[in-house]
This record gives sequence, C-alpha cells and structure tokens, in this order.
Amino acid sequence: MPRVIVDQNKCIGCGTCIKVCPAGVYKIVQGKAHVVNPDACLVCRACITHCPVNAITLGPREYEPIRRLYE
Amino acid sequence: MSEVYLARSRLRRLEARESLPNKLIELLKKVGIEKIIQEGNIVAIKVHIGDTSNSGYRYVRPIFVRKVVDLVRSLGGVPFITDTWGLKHIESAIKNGFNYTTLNAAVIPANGIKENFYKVVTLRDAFHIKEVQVAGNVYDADVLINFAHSKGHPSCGYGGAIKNIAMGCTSYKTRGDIHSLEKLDKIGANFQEGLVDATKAVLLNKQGKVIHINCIMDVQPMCDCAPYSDNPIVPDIGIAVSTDIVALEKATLDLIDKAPPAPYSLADKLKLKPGENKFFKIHGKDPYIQVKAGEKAGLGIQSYKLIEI
Repeated sequence: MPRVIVDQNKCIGCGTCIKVCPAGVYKIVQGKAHVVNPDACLVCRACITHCPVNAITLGPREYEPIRRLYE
Repeated sequence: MSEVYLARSRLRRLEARESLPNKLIELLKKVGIEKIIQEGNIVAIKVHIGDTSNSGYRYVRPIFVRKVVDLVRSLGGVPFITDTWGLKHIESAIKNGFNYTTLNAAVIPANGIKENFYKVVTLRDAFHIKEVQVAGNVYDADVLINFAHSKGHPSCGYGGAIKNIAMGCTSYKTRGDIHSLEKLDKIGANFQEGLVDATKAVLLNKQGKVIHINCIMDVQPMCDCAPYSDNPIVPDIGIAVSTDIVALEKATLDLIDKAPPAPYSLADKLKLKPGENKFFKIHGKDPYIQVKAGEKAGLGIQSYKLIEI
C-alpha cells in the first residue's frame, strides 16, 4: 500500500503536489494526480500541507515491524 | 554530570500541590526558568498537538501547557504555542484542545501556513544533514520551551525531546532529508543521527535559552501523529525537565526501561520485563542511538543526576 493516497473524487488535478514533492511521487494522469512512485515517498507531508482540496492522506506504512505484533 | 529533575505523577499526599500540573511549575523553577526568561522575551512553546484526524488522544494534556503559559506570562514573557505542518495542523490543534481559549496564548504554525517560512542553518559538523531548514518562528523566538511527549516511534524506537525539535521545528524539506536516511539501515541509526543534526541546527541560536521537558505519561507504542492511540506500555511515570537534552533523553529511556510493563498493553502482550530495551523489542530500532549521537554532536552528556522533587 502506498504511503500517500490521492482521493480521485476530490483531486482537481492542479499539480500542486507535483510541485512541492521532493521525491517525484506524483504524476498527472488523465487530469488527476496519481501516486506513481510510492517507494520514493519521504513522509515529509508537504503534499498534504499544500493540497488545496484535502485530497491527499497518509496511508499505513507496510514495512513497520510493529504491525505484526498486532496480528 | 547533568541535572535532570523529575516529578512523579504518583501522589505522596492527597493535596493539590502534589498534583502533576503544579509540580511542573516547581520543576521549571528548579531548572532555572526565572533566569532564562527575561521580561519581553518571546517564548516558543513547542508541543506535538496530536494527529490531524483527531482520532489519537494520548498526547500532552493541554492543562500542562496552560501551566507553562501562565508561568511564562508571570515572568514577563510573551508565549506562543507552536507545531509544524502548517495551518491545517493548527486547525487540528484547536480541536485537540490547544487554542487561545484553553491556553491563553496564540497557537501558530512553526513555519508559516504552508511551511515556507524557515531559516537555513548550516552545520560545520553534521552526521548527514549539513543544511537544515529551521522553522522561522522558532528561530526568531528568544526562548524555546521544548515540551515533548515521550512515546514509541516506528522509525527510531522512541520519540521525545530530540524528535520534538528535529521533526517539529523544521520544514518538510528537512523532514524528508531525515526520513530518507531510514532506508540506509534496519535499526534506525542513520535516521536518529539525522534527528540529531536537525536538533543541533535548531538549538544553535538558543544556547542558555532553552528548557526541555519530557512528559512521561501515556507512553504509547506509536507516535502522537498516528490516527489511533493504544494503551501505555508502562504505568505513568511523571514529567522530567532539564536544560541538557541528551541527559534528559537518557534519563527518560532509563525510567521507561526500568518500569514494569503496564497490564493490558502491548508490552504486557509481549511479556517484556523491567530492564529490557522496550522500544527496541517493539520497533526493532534502538532508541539509545539518538542519545549517543546527541552526545557526540555536543548537544549534552549522557551522564545525569536524577533529582526527584
């Protein structure tokens, strides 16, 4: 699961996330932002802070060893 | 040897002065707040205000922050409460109980509404990050009260005073730089050295003008930014205060590791024992690395004298 998730219904395709992301995580595909490089995410949250329509959220991080302790 | 002052949350007598918010005032006086704050000083109080979805709940209780604000004002200081992630995070702060009504101080973003207000600080000696973007409002403040919550963290095992500054008083560029170090090893060593770099840069213009507080209560396994809270892994211990961030973190980790696992917690489920490196057992990351790195970077010393009030 990617660390950042774009709500396709909310996204207006403005490209702000692409502009602020230092890691090249996003790309506009057919007028909407998509996470094309999830592993590059640095969890800096710049996209979340800047997105003008709250379309981006942080998903769970799959490599966290602690998750196994809850299974 | 550095002095670390500790007030336990356990009551010795059934009296209001024994209650932890009141003992916090006493701790701050012991550590010399009256000498550190001068009339007219602008005082940044950095807290982690909790998660953005308002689902986690085991962060520092606003009443403790209010006590600090009242004390700062009584000394003639002008306090403000601050955290990172821009204005949207301040909206979460308001909902989580950190606002002007509850605290009698402005709650403002550390580095602007969209995190673009920062000062670039260049370190002569750094482990990894030579250029740190320090949050502008923290940089400009005359005094910094680093009010941290001690808890677990998946990237470094534990987050307290060092992490509160490194991640919370910088910009997204610096946070990204620190997180990118996670990929270099499995025990969080490089990441923690990055935390120390950022902390060093933030504290560079705060020599003799900073107090570090660790709230060792609600010591949950995960960070306050997570959209959930779990039971604390140890019983509530209290609040520890020092002007030496390294000594404070070492004392805090020792207190948590010495404590018995709390019933009904993850530590209980894992059958952890007093004396074990609890955060290493939970996260696979050794939290003492940040303490050692902090000492190496000259932020303080690991050797401490614990003074209980």
